[in-house]
Amino acid sequence: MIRFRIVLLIIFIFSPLSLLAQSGSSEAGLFYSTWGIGVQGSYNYTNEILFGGDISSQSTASSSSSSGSTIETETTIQTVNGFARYYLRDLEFTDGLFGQAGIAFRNWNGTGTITEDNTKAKLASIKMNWSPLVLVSGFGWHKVWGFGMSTSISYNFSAGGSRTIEYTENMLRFSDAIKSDLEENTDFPTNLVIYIGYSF
Amino acid sequence: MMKRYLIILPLIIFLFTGCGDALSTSTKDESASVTADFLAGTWTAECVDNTTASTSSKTVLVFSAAADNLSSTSTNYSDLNCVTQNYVIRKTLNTLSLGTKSTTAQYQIMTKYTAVVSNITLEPKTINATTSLNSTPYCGITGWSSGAQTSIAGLTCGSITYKAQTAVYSDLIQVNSEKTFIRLGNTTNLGSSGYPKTLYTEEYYK
Repeated sequence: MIRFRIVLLIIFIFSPLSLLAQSGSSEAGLFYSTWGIGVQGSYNYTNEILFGGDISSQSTASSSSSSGSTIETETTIQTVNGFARYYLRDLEFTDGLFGQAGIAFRNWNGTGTITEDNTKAKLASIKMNWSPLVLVSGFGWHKVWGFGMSTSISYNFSAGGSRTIEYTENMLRFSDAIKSDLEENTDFPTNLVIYIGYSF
Repeated sequence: MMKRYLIILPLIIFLFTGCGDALSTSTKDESASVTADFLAGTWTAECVDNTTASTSSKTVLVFSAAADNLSSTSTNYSDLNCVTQNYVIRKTLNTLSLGTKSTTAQYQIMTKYTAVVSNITLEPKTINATTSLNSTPYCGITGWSSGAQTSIAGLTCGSITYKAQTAVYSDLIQVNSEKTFIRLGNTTNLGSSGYPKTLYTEEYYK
């Protein structure tokens, strides 16, 4: 049964493959990424060059209590990305592999507040902001089946951006360990994108 | 073929150089400063019940106008609602001097202060309390009398050893940034510097 499934999977992956060869074709779809869930559209300028854009959004809010205090956090990550892709099509084994580069416009910010439970006194807070413009480049693999279904996976890196973290201490100092932990956990330099769409 | 790799090569170089966001951080100290003007006046804690012992207690702090004297009155009650007085411990401190802001080992922001002990007294309020104190005898004193203040400065009473008269008294004050309450240091848990290592959780409101 397992062998049968593997064979089916191999047939599904390697059989009716279309190479995005039609210049002027387009595709649209949805994706899940480190930077949020979004929609993506693209246009095949040539067999090797694709222009695309996507928009993604992710908002999180959390609250946790410990040792008589409550930590509440909120983050908003909204990204609009424009990119160009170049496909390596000359060798069969590289077909579908691409490199891409583009510019992302970000609306990324986050806040966190620590409050004492019994008195509601503010102990400390943080505010995070990311620069609105950043360069994004990466590489990935893209596949289009004969019946129009398209999928891709890409790994992207951001560069040229900046972020600021403002610590405000009311009744509590932030230790160096807490600061470095926070700074490490709020750094999102890479973006893994898993896309599924339809080519037309 | 060559042209293709001329495009890919700069991309790979770009990927592995300087990725991520440049980080800049700043820290704002918005903790309130403890000043004499702010402290001057009467600060009262809420009634704290002790369900195990079926008693309660309430402490009132009075800072003089210049906040250089502090009178602390802790009343113990024989009920859970701070109604029937059992005994009163009064602590008076002179030449109180506020220090600078500091931080406890738990990263709590507070201000250190020192003072000189003027006196620490205990006054039983009921016959029962007096009998109980005399039977121990509490602090090694046998002459407890209801309604009479007796100095316990420099004595060991139960698990607590009180500072002697004229001894230097080191303590902490914490204030919230809205300046609505203060907290004092836990003087039963002193560090090597003589200051309390932690703060009491009890708040005093004006």
